[in-house]
Amino acid sequence: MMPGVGVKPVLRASGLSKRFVLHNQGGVELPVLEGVAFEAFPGECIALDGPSGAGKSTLLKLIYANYRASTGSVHVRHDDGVQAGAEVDMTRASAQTLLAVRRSTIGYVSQFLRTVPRVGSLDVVAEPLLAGTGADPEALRDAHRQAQDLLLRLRIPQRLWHVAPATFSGGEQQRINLARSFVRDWPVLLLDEPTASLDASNSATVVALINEVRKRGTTVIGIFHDAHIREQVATRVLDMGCFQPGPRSR
Amino acid sequence: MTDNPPLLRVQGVTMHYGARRAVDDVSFDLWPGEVLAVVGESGSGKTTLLNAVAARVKPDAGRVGFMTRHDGMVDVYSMSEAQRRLLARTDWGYVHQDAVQGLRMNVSAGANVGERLMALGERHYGRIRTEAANWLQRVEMDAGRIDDTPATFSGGMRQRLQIARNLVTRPRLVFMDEPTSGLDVSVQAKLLDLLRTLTRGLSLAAIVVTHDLAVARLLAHRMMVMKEGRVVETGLTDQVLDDPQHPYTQLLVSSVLQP
Repeated sequence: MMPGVGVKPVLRASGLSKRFVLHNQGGVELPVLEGVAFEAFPGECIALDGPSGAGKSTLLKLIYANYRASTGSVHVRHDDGVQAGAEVDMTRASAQTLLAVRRSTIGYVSQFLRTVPRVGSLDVVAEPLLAGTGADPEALRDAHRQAQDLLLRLRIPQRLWHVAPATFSGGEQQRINLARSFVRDWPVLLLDEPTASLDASNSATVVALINEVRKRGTTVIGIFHDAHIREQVATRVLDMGCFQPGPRSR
Repeated sequence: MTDNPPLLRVQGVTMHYGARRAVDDVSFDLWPGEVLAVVGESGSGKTTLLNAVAARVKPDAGRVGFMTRHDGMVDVYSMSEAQRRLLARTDWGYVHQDAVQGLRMNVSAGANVGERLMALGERHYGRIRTEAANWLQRVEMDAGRIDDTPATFSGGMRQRLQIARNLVTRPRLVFMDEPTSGLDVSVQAKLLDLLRTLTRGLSLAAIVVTHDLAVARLLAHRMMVMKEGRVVETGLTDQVLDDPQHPYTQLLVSSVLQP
């Protein structure tokens, strides 16, 4: 799907590279990505394609600024409440700005759910809706309602809604993680193997959810190993082979 | 959010112990509602820094500015002793590693919580008692223990009482020195969850000194890594833990045993 004339990208990466330096292992350098450049437009679903070790997860983490870029930039359009559509460079922004972008602009579903002991699933899923609402009971009820809808769609049995997900199976945890991200619309949504441990019917639900948010304008950037899933969601494939670092002297 | 002024502005804080620099030229800002973890090994200067920033021990050099409710940003060391004491009892809290240091062990739990309210001029016994009972419940303590002294409490209960005692005046900034160490692991998890709920729910800014990276991961938005009195790395918590840059941080992160 090519964007129309005049449509601005939501995200653009340019000259982006990542090299890990392991100081306690003789300063060995591990170049992972080099020269990453692409633009992403509203309503696209970009599938990152390449064998394992090609830096797909690393690219998602660079966009989320969980990893710090060695060179280059990732500009994201972020409505900061003052200036709509202002651009933030995720590789240089202050901690405060990054947190603000993560609250309202970029959602990220990692492969693993990091759970907090004792917080129930319903609250875990509702949390992204409650940022900045204080303790408003109306907002809380509303957030719980939306969280319930997603838990139902992702087939989390009601008896687990008030249980902390720490003891859940891998597939259940992944569904909690997904529910938590799909509970609100993000301008940009990053998905790292969202269906890796899901059965066929839950995978189909995730496909439907991705296509729904995409049609509402979300830009999805994801890693989908399952070719069948990828065909159903991707509007474009980004070949990670173009961003492999060249041979180095050390 | 970036345009908002910080709640706390620390500039060039330096402390000596004899000839040794325990804290060496440390600067950072803290924003309202932000939880900052200060991590490092024993002797890295993190508790010394906390005490300097919390106006408990005057640093040899540097400034600590706090955004007061009425007078804007004020250097806490330029305040009068009385002003500083009032600040420490109202808008600030300090949670000690050892609850015994933060509590009065021979007066009741209720009186421990009520003390700060009385320091603010509250004299109505019924209101103080109601508010104390309310806070005991918020930190998940049995309100029926309100007349017992902390000497009869377990370590975890004492720590929760200390937190209630600090939060009763709705401070905007709380300093915490290893708040969960010294507790059993199961009690630790419960306390961490409580702290997380309270800091998020009350939009409380906090500086948490800890040697435990898991505590930082769970509580903090941002992290500062200290070694030999200096800050060697700062960043968002997940940046520092998932992609540490400094050799020392890499060593620290890779040394943690993952269960």
